[in-house]
Amino acid sequence: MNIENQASGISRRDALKAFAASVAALGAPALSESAWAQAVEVRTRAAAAPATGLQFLTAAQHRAVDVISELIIPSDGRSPGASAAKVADFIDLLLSGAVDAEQAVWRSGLEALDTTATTRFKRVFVDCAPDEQVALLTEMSRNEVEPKTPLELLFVHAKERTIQGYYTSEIGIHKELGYRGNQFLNEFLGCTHPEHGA
Amino acid sequence: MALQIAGTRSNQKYDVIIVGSGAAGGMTGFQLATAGLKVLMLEAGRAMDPFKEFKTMEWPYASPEHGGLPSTEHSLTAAEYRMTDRPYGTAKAFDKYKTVFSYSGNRYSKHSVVDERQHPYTGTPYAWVRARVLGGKTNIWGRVSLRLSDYDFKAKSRDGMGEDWPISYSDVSPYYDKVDRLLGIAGTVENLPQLPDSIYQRPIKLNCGEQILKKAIAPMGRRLIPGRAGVTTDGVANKYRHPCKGRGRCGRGCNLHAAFHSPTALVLPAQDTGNLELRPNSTVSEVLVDPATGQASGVRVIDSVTRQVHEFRARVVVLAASTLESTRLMLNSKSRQHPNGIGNSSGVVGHYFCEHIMGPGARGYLPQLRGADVTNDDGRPTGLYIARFRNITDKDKRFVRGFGFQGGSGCSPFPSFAASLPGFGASLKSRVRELYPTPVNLGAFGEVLARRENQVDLDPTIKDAWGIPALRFNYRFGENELAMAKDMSEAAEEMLKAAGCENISVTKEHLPEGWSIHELGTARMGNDPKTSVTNSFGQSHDVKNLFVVDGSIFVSAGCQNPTWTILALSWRASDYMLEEAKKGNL
Repeated sequence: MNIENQASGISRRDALKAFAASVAALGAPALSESAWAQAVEVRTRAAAAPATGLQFLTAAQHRAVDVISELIIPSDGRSPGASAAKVADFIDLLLSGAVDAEQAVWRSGLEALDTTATTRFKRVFVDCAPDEQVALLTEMSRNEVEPKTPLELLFVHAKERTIQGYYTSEIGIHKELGYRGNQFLNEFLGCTHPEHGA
Repeated sequence: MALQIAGTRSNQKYDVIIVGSGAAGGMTGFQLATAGLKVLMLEAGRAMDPFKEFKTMEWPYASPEHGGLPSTEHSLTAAEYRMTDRPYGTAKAFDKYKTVFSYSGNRYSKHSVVDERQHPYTGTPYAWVRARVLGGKTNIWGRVSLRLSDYDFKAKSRDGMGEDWPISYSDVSPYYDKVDRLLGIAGTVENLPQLPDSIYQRPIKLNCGEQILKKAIAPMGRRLIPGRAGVTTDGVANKYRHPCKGRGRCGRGCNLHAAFHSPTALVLPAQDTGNLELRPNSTVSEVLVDPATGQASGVRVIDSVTRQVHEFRARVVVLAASTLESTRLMLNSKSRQHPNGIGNSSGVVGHYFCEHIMGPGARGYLPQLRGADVTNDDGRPTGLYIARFRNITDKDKRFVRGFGFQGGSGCSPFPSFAASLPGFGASLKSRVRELYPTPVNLGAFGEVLARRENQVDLDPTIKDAWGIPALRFNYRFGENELAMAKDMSEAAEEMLKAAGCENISVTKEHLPEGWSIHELGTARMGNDPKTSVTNSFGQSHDVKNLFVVDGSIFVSAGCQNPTWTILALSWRASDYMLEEAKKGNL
């Protein structure tokens, strides 16, 4: 096996199940104040700079994905979020080569998202107020372990792809994580802590 | 130096033709060329430039796909292996792609691995990873380098299952030593009877999480040790290779060649003797037979690019094309003298197919490391290893044989745990950051028993792009493997609990057959020509100038990664060939 494939050994669903048990007591995850502020910023920026050269998403869908990705990984005091890392562009490219089933999840999910937003708030998703967008996404995220509806499926896919795109971006790797590898070392130092048994 | 490419001089007669340029072919070619024999090495794939093609340090964001495949290419997933009809490459679901790779196909391996469209196979589901390129799978291998012991060579004597090898550890041990010194291996002396020590260079060190786990499982009698990697950390006497610089990403190919890759470690040095010619793009379709003697006379080659057919002659033919490809070649080499395929009078070729079952394991977070400083945890060629602990001193009631764990801890290039955290937003982002140094994971490799009914043969109708019959799989994990898989996940969970891990998630499902890329055993060695294909030197019982030197001659799989044993056995076979040649027997 090589390093690019190392994540494949563990089923994501199993992992989610384990977590579901541990967070059940906490209730639905809440968004912090900064995430709310960021949602506003994203909405403005996404509307101002429509993407070009899209492979799979329409311009309107790309705006929605940009908003969703930034809601999933927002900008905060430490680093910019998914929008600045151009995660929506990455997702668009990735979807253009995805298997049919995954493309269908995004198409029907994004359509359902606008339908739901219009029914409830009289506006498509990207035109909703930040609190409305957060409310919609929170609802979509309630069945992460066993997603069934188009919206629940969209959330799970959007989250996975946002994480994939963000933490492989320059912002995600360096500014957010502060990853220290991929450099020349004379020796790997290893653990030097007596309390760890070294 | 540039590779010297042989032409199509079909008239020239070589001492030895070697089919394949990976670990087994590389080692045999190096030994025989060094001893002065004239060697022709045939590689089905192209002669990639080992100094230019590896993108060892490329950041994911250097490509718009972030290191992934372009949209016109697809690599198979575990679910697709189970659900899609064979041949996978031509399944309707993948019509939209120009190229379909095995699961191993990615931006960094696609210079090596084959397009499934051109290389079909049929039968039971199997994740068959093949590299057709100079060096074969050694360009992308996992580097874990372990010795077998007499717990493996003589396993039948202990539990009655399968067959003993015709050799014991004492026969192979001197060759393991030679391989250690020639190629370099990093590790620590541990004195474990089931996992003999090599002659090590500077070891890989454990990081904090691994050290915590080691301490926690010691009272259970389990030994967590630094991984043993076929990587030179102190350097070796080879002008193409440099000592490891801890950059990580070795699986893309190490452009310092600290990791063992056959092209720089063996093939180029063999060429430097002036005695080895390499002919890439040479798909061998058949071993040719002298109609008078029934001995091997050479091979028929289809040029992979021009499709022209050539015949090359030699005194000895060595198959080192990887376990299943050598087997396929033997089965396809039918003649009047060898109607079931060359070297197959026993009918054993293709049978006793074995490998390692993998997938079951566990992961969790070490609370001791929550919010710790970010450290460089992947600046080394492998992580931890937990030596087999079942059926060593005890006798397990559920299954025979055992498994070892590989794994690691700490800050990885990509936080693959993030998608399993619940929710979204600032809380998710800060949770990823907080947990970034804490993950620890274990995944087992378990021995699959070599059973006669697990077998491959030639498909009666499907052929590859060169008109060679495709391989047909009839291979499934059995009860022993499934009982073992259950224990693998339970044992992993138990160990992470002992270390105080939180949020432990256990993987119970095994991955599809083949996932370990450790296929073995389909031309097994033995003393009895009726029940085995070769002697302990890989020499065909039927055809004395035909040798098989890759993983197909294994009698059983052990649970150790096989490359170091393949290297030792092919060196041992080479010495035997030289002795026999000296005696005039070849």
